[in-house]
Amino acid sequence: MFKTDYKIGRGKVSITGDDLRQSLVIAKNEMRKFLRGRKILLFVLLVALFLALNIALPALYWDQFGSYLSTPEQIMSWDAGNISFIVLIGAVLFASFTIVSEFEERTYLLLFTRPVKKTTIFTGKFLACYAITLLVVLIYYGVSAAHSLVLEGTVTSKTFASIGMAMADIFALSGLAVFFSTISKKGSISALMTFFLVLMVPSILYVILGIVQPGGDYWYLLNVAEGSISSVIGPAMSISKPLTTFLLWGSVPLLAGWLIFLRKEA
Amino acid sequence: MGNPIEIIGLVKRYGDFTAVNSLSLSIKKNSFTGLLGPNGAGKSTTLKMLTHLINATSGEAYINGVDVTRDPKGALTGVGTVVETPEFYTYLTPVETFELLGQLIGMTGEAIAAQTSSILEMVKMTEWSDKKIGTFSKGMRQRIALGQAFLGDPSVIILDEPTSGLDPRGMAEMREVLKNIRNGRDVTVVMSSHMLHEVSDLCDHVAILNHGKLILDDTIDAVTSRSGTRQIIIKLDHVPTADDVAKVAAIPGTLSASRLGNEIEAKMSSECARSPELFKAVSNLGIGAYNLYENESLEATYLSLIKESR
Repeated sequence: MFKTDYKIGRGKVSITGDDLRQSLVIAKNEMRKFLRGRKILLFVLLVALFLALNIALPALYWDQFGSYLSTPEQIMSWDAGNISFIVLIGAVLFASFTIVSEFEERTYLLLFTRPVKKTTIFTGKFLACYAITLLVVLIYYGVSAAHSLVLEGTVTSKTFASIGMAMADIFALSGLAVFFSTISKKGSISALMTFFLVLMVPSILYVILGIVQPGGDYWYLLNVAEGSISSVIGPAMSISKPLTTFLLWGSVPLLAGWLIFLRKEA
Repeated sequence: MGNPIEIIGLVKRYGDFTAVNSLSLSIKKNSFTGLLGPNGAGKSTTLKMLTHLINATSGEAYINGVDVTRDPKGALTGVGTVVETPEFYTYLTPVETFELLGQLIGMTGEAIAAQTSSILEMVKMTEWSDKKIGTFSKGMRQRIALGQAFLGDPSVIILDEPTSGLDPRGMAEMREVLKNIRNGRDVTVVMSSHMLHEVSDLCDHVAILNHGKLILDDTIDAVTSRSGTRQIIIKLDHVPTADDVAKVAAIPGTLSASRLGNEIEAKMSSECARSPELFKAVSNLGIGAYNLYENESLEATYLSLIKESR
């Protein structure tokens, strides 16, 4: 038995070593669910398609693309342009179903009647959703790095900064999706809400703000922050604003989702 | 607070509707208690509060001395549950499911492996141990559901309508497993059910709820003998005649006898009905009797209590 020799917090929100161990058990099972399901195949297929297009199109039209992809930075930045969409697909396919599927499939009757805190379940599920998207994103970066190696013989070290921004984006989008998964009664509704909120709302706001305040700095919009995933590979830039944006867009809904989940009844 | 389950003034309200109304109930150690009541009586709500699927509006519910309303994790440690018909993770096999549930309660790999094989044998699912649960019938899933409740040697098992939704064969198989549930085990069982004969067959205690209130809590034996009379059914090898009925009515201790289709129904005193001499007396009547059994009077008591508490 795992030693529960430390404890953080008090009462309902206290976390013990045993809670963390149980979170990892739940995360491991959730990962197994993702890896044995069909959604992961769809995800990998879409990512492969993005990569194929990213690599094949410039190769086919090299006369037009050649000048844009002449440095390792330009190649990685070009490839990283798809990351925010990959992260969105990951959030929609996995995180937006993670809580609601327990109720839809009635597996909550099995899991929620165990001696496991709801916070532990919530944490484990979020960790798994984060990890599965991160795994696919890292594979994407790996192939992109190979792309850069083939064309330029090297990979820019700024790739790590881009990975860092992508990790923050995964946190933001997974947090949003888990929130919708907590409040929705159907996984499909949760997925649609995640998709439209991330894809449509910031774009609409961007257009409206562009009319109301032309030339303003809309750093707090998710789509603006997501631009940093590829632009961080270019000239030096401040990452504090996009990181703050990702942190806020992820942590606020995640906190709200957790509080709602604590009170959620079967 | 020596009893494994102590419910004190438990209340559950949904707006203006009170599903469970100041329920207080003690479940004795090593007993098998049946929770009975009509639809909406509060049986499932009570068990869902005990298993922390829903939160109590007020009151306390202790399992092994730990209040589930304050420390659900602590209270549910050492408790096996089957609530309604739980679904399983269809991508897992029974072995993987037990592994997951065992890991959650902190069992070692060796302990999980050892218990998994004996539990699967008990619920007759050994040959399906490595097949994905997604391919299983409802009856098979319910057997796995019952099996997982034994993982970690729980001291308390809570079952919410464990045979509901099963076909007759599935029900019979499940009842067979439930009959042996306490064999050699130090375990207290609480089971809600709609089926009086099931409770009568399996349980030694019964608690009857109606409108969220406890209206009876006693041993099955005490409940069935509340009226002081017992109903004995005698099967004959022919359609009973008036003479056959009269002969039965004349057996000492018999209060009344009447024809009931192709059988004779006799109301007898408890002493007479439970006496070994009864077999001899009926046999000596020469009326072609080939079988006799006691028709459990739990149903009569149940119906009268439910009627009174309306």
